[in-house]
Amino acid sequence: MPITQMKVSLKDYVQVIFRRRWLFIIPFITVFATATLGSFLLPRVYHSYTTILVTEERIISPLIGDLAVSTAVKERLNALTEEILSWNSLVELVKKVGLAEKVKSQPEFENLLLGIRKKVKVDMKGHDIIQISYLGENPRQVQQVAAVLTNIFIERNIQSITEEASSAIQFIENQLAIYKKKLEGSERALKEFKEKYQAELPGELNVNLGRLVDFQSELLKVNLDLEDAMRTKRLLERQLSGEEQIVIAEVTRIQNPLVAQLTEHLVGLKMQLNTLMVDARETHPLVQELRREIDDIETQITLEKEKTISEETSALNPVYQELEQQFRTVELKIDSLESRQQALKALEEDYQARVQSIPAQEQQLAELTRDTRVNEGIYSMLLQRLEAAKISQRLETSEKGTKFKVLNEARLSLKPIKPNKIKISFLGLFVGTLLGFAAVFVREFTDHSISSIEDAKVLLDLPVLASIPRIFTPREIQSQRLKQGLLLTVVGLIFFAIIVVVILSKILT
Amino acid sequence: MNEDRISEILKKARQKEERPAKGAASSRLAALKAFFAQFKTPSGLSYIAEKKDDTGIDPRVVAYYAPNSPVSEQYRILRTHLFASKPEAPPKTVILTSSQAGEGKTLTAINLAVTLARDSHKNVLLIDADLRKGQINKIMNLPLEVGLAGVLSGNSEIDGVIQKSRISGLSVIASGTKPSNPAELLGQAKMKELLNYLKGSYDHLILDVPPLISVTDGQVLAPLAEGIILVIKAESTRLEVIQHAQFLIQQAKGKVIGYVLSNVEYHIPEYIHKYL
Repeated sequence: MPITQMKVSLKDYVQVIFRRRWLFIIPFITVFATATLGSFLLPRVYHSYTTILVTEERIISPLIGDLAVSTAVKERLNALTEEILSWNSLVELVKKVGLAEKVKSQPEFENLLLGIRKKVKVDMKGHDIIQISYLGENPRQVQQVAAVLTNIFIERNIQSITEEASSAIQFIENQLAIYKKKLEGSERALKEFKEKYQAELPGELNVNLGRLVDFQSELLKVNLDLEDAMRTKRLLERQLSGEEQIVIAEVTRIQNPLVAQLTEHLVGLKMQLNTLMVDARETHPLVQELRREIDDIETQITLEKEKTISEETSALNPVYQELEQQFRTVELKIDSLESRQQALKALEEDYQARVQSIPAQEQQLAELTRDTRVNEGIYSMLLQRLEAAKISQRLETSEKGTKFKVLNEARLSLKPIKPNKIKISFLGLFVGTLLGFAAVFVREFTDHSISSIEDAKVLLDLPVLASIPRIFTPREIQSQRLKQGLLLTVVGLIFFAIIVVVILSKILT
Repeated sequence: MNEDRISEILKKARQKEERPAKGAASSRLAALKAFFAQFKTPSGLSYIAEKKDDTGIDPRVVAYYAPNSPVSEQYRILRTHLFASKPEAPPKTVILTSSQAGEGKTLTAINLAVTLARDSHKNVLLIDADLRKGQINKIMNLPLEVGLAGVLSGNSEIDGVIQKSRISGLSVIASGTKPSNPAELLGQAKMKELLNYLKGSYDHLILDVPPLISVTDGQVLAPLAEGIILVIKAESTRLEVIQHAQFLIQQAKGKVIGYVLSNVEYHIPEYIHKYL
């Protein structure tokens, strides 16, 4: 009956075990005997190993610590483990030790290598000790393989250190060549730019601005002079138009006294006008009024003069000639001022453009300068690294670099490490017991029969009136004894077999 | 409680068993024998039926051969419980049956009848109602030919088939020659009349009835008895089977008084049991 349905005591468990002892004994003996016998029949595996101490120069390493070429032992170990287990290394090993003597076909050879691969182990013992071990059935061969593996390991390691440094140097040199070209290019570009915009470079800005201001003030001055000259010209024009080219040199007549009077007044007015014109314009109302008055008086004079009959003698007017002379001078001055004005305007425009174009060039210059600087930086860094890589290469290959010292040579293993007979036997004992118990309890849980008064009490609804013990007949006793005898014989045989195997294995070794 | 009493008696019985073993270990040989005896099977309370005596009764009739053995004690307990189930009017007609064949009902019926006759000095009639495979005559070393089948089929007279056993107070009716229609015979009114008639002459009628699940005979006879005892073979009969048998009895309007657990084995050896 399922024992879970009742209060379970130790006695119940013992009861179950005894009741189902066969279910326990059979799996137990089977597993235990198989494991024990098996442990003697399993092939013996021998183990051989070498320990290598790897020392790295601690004093110098920090100098190159953060440079590209330094690799830690541990990192290198992973790569080396892979390398040792690589096809080429294994082929080398197989050749050196002569493991493939009996191998005939390619698949067989590949299987051999795969097998070796599984049996090789590379371990870190602490941070600087490496253990290379090998497992196999032939102790002498195992020792040989471990020794050869160690040699391969050290050779490859030294080789790889050198190769690493060399490849780093090569890489840096390649990069150096590339950056040298780049740097040269950018330096050239900067130089060309500077030559092209020599006067417009940011440094020239003040000079240009100063010049622009100079030109502008000069232009202003020229303009003023020009205007002045123009005014003088206009005045002279007017004076010239008022003078006769040829004057009557001698007039004999009786002067109309009114004419003289008017003329006098006219001269006074003209003088007044001339004075005014020095700093007043034509449009000035006073000027205009004066002109009108002058015109009136001149008209009157003409009218009065006609009234007198006179006799005249002509001659060149000296006033006119002088005015004409003055006029020509002014015209020349105007011409020269105008051309100067033109020149100054052109200069002003030029400088204006120069001053305005400076920001664009400044940017271009900044870019060129930056490129050059960056390339310069990278180039010099690469140069540094190249030197560092060369140092570390020299360091690694010199005595001060990583050193490998074999602490333990591969030794001939005298005792197999596998199979661990005691361990296997105990495992068999344990598993057998577990299996036996499992069988017993599985059976117990699936058995729905009533086995005791306690069961009946729990599971049945009416009272149990009596519990009659089993009544054995002599024949039943006999068959039971036979069963027990058989079991004892089997157990005895198994132990006998174990003893025989032990003795045989001792004799064989 | 019944079960508590049983276990108490069992404990006493164990103690009784141990004493002679210790006493017998006077010589070295005896001590050695006693030591190995405890490893021998069967262990503990089991009984070994050794040899027949001149009565020819099967050695398994423990109540006759070893009245002081723990097994006989169990039959006495059965008897006590039977009376205790109805103290004012203890059942006169008792059927011993089981769910399946081979559960030990015949031996239980015989041993119960022997206990009743010998210890309680009652007039007991043991009737083998298993007309198909009746075995009581064989176990009691009595002739088979005259029996219940003959009476029910009208070939024999009732008084002619009652056989006196070698045990005083115990009479037996064998099953008789196997008939072709046992269930029909048992189902007749004659069977009831017969039992009523016999009740007058005996203190107890013990009927050994075929298993319930395989044949209908048990169901046919169930209402005729005042009490039915269901024999269960320990470590063998499944709970579902017992429940089904009980259901069949209920259907036939029979009354189950209780169970007898037969073939009980005490697997824990004495030398371990002591410490538990």
